[in-house]
Amino acid sequence: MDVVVLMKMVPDAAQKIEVDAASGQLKASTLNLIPFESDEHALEEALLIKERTGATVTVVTTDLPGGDVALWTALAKGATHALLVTRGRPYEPRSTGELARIYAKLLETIPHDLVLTGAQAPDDVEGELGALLAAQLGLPYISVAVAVRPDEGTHSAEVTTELGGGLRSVYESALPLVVGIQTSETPPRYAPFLQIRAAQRSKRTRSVAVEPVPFDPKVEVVALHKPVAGKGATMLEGSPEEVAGRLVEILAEKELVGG
Amino acid sequence: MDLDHVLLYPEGKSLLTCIQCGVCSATCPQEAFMEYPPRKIVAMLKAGLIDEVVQSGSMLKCVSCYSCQAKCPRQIRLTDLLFPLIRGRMFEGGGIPAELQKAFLDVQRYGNPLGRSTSERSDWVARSKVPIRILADRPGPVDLLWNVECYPSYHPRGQAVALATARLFHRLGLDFAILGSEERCIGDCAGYFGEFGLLDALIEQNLTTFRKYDFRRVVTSGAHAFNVFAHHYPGYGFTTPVEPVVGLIGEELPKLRPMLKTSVPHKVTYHDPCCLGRCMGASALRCYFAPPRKLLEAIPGLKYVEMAHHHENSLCCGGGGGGMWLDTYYRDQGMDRLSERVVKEAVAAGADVLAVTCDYEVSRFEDAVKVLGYDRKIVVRDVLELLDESAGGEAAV
Amino acid sequence: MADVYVLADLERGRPTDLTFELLTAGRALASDLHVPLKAVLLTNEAGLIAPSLGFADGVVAMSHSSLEHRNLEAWSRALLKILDEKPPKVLLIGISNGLLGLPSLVAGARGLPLISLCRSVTAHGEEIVGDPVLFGGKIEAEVHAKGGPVVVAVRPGSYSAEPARVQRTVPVENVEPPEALETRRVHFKRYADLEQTDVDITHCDVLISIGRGIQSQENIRIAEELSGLFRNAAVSSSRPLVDQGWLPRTRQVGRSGMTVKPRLYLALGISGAPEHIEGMKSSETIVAVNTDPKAPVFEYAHYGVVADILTFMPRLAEQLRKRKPVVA
Ligand SMILES: Cc1cc2nc3c(=O)[nH]c(=O)nc-3n(C[C@H](O)[C@H](O)[C@H](O)COP(=O)(O)OP(=O)(O)OC[C@H]3O[C@@H](n4cnc5c(N)ncnc54)[C@H](O)[C@@H]3O)c2cc1C
Ligand code: SF4
Ligand code: SF4
Repeated sequence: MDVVVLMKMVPDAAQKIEVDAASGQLKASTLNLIPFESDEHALEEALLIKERTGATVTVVTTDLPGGDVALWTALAKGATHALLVTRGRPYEPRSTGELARIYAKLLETIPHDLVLTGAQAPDDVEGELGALLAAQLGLPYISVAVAVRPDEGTHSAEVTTELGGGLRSVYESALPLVVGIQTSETPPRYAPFLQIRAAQRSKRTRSVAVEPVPFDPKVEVVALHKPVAGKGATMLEGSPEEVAGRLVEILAEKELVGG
Repeated sequence: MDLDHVLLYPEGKSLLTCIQCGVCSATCPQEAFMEYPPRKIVAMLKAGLIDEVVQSGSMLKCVSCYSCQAKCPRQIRLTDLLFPLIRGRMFEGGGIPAELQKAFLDVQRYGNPLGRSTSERSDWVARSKVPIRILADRPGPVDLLWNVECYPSYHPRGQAVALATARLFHRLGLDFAILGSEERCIGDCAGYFGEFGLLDALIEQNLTTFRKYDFRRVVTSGAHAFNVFAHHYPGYGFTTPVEPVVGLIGEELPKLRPMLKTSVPHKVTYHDPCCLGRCMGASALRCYFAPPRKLLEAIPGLKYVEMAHHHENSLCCGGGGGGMWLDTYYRDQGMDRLSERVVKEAVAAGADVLAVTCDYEVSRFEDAVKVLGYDRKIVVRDVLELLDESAGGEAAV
Repeated sequence: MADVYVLADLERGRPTDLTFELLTAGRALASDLHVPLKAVLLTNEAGLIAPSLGFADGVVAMSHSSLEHRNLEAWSRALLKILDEKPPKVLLIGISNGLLGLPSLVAGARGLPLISLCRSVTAHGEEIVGDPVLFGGKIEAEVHAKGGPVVVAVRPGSYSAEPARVQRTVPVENVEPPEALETRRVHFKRYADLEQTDVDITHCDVLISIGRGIQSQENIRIAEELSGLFRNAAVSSSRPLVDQGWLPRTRQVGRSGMTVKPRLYLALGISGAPEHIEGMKSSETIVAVNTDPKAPVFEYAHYGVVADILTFMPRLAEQLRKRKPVVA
């Protein structure tokens, strides 16, 4: 069983994200890229599959800043192989379409029964990586997965997805299959730093150059901007005591609390 | 040193000198909750039962209070070496509560366990009425490099302490500066929990930053950073003198005393942090038992009272060795919280103010006060906040 | 290339709110473009559902047993056949959990322009313009698409569903299901309900909802205390808290959690990421407390307080203790 995990580096929304007024683009210098959270869940799900079935887990990302660390971390957590796709381009918030093409090419050369990636990244302006990739490769795709249970014997997988409202649905698919992971069955594990360093030193990360993929974007990102703040709410001002008092009065008017 | 080869090293060989006297277990505040208490752990390690020790999870309950190490007649390095090594091994098999893992991940990623943006690290400076120099902006030579630390930088209650500290420095005319957004976690939870790789990375990164600037000494806001500087940084060739803020201000008491005019009419007790007392082991010279007490007693109107446990026998607040992020786990395990025990003792001593000088403690003890419903009985203040108040607070700078 | 298409999102055979929201969006777009609005219905038995889509000028339907439940592979193969046979100018698909990925599958297979993560969609002359919201609401974009058919993936909660709830007999154009449905590899197996062992936050009158601003698991206790001062109230939360294991999954509000409509939704230390807003925007009264005056949650709140919730919650509790808990 070969599981491939596609990880994408995205700007850390916990840190500042600035737009350059002149160019209308993200200020690259201020961006801190981290692996997309659901991709980390995809990795965790893959590692769980590895633990259960002895599958091979190959983790792939591109050579954006932090991509190498993401791969060392994945190796430290137990991934079998790590591939760094050299692209030599800075981060752009619209690269998912191009990535899908690059990975589609890459997957021609690596075995894959299951391809796992995050369900929806915060920069998927032109669609999600997993779905675009599945479309490219002509593979089936299942999204918002919260559990993936492959069966080597029948070469199929049972995938549980989250519909919301406490409702889940379960699908069965033949392999190979691309899955968009929402959350892993258990939270992503922690990789101790020594093991990340050891993975770094082990030189187990392989760089692969993928020929530039002609990509003709069908849409044009005209502008990026910060949202305009707080227009809707009536702001209650004053000391916390005053504000709390005023709020309780409002709630009383609405009969949410007693007199 | 690693756990599997522990006996190959001199520090590990010292295990063999254990006489199984049981002093360590007897003194351990968490002993009742450990499947294998310290004495037993040492015996098991001697017998090579490493996996059993790791799997038991007993060492998750160790809060690095140094009681056992300080009292061990054989001076075996239980707290700062053996127990972290055991915990370090726990990373391999899981079993480390998610909250603590997240703290480590946040330290890896942001250089602070609160998961806050590095660029926000010095945001609190904008609220200061006194000038605070940030070295990246004004790099020239400076006497004191003030290591603000994570909680004083990010936690609102810690920031209040940081602001009070800055005012005191200013009043005393000290030549000080901070690293601002270049500052990173000094490595306390990493070092004492046993995430040694992360500790190593943090030290390397911090030393690289330190080398950019010209300063004569370092002052740390809290006890934990001081302890890590004292125990771990010299091994990396860092020899600049380091002192905790209470030590430094203690030396300045003659100059400060005339400024302490406002009466602070409270019964105050002081909690000795492990890291300024017991942790310093035999080097009694480096214990800071006296300075905070002297400082408190210099405040007009203040009446000092002692808790049942004090000086080297003080109770741990339970926040060390990653304990700060294990409180939930401890609760789920049905364990008492040490922070609550301390607060109860402080109230029993008749104090209405619990004075502290540890960066974790204001928040830990304030929470314990809330949990116990002692809001009306006692408040938690940093020693420096009390000094600042007596010196007139924000209005007087 | 004439119509504006809206794909009906169905759950257990019934159009979801999102379907009607998109019909509202589609109507405005269709009038700008001066074209008809059509609902696309993929199901096992289109005839039963078509009349509930009466707000559209017509329904383009395909019936097949594999389309009964949302199945991305079956639905994309069905949609592609419709797009090939009767290409529209624009196809709107709502981003529900059940449909997430479908726009990409369709656009990817045919190389069509796709704008995803949109809050709204408009026409500027011949161009279709979407406004994706990125990075949890921190950045907004303006994206233009030419040619077509243009696929636009619209976030839930962006349009009102009410105007579009029109029941009437509409003209239905049936499209034959493609062969490809028989050779599909993905099969819907079953629905699975999460076990209900905890309070059901969808039936509470008051939700004290906490986000990462709560800072530690310990502080949740403060919110629990607050909730105890109302009748029929519970503590709910944003996803990160649940992901960290701080609260059970059953307390999570938002896209992958519960959709709630309490009488009072008190958002404490929640930034207001679109996925969260999605689950609570229909609450009767929304009060947001946040240290960040620019937090997006204020845009959706009726009342806002800029404060540290750790300070504010105890203060609010104090005031509430002076009153009797009443919920009509
Ligand atoms: C496919 C998908 C599905 C998702 N589903 C959901 C979902 O169902 N539900 C959901 O909630 N999220 C969901 N998300 C995640 C969502 O994008 C956000 O990450 C999440 O909602 C953020 O939660 P938060 O507001 O608690 O945290 P943050 O965004 O970190 O916000 C914390 C807020 O607290 C404020 N704050 C900090 N300290 C204080 C203080 N002391 N006092 C007051 N305010 C303070 C901050 O200013 C900030 O605004 C989903 C994401 C994806 C991609
Ligand atoms: S350091 Fe303290 S808590 Fe840890 S084992 Fe020793 S006495 Fe117990
Ligand atoms: S105190 Fe020291 S010598 Fe005594 S049992 Fe503990 S480790 Fe052994």
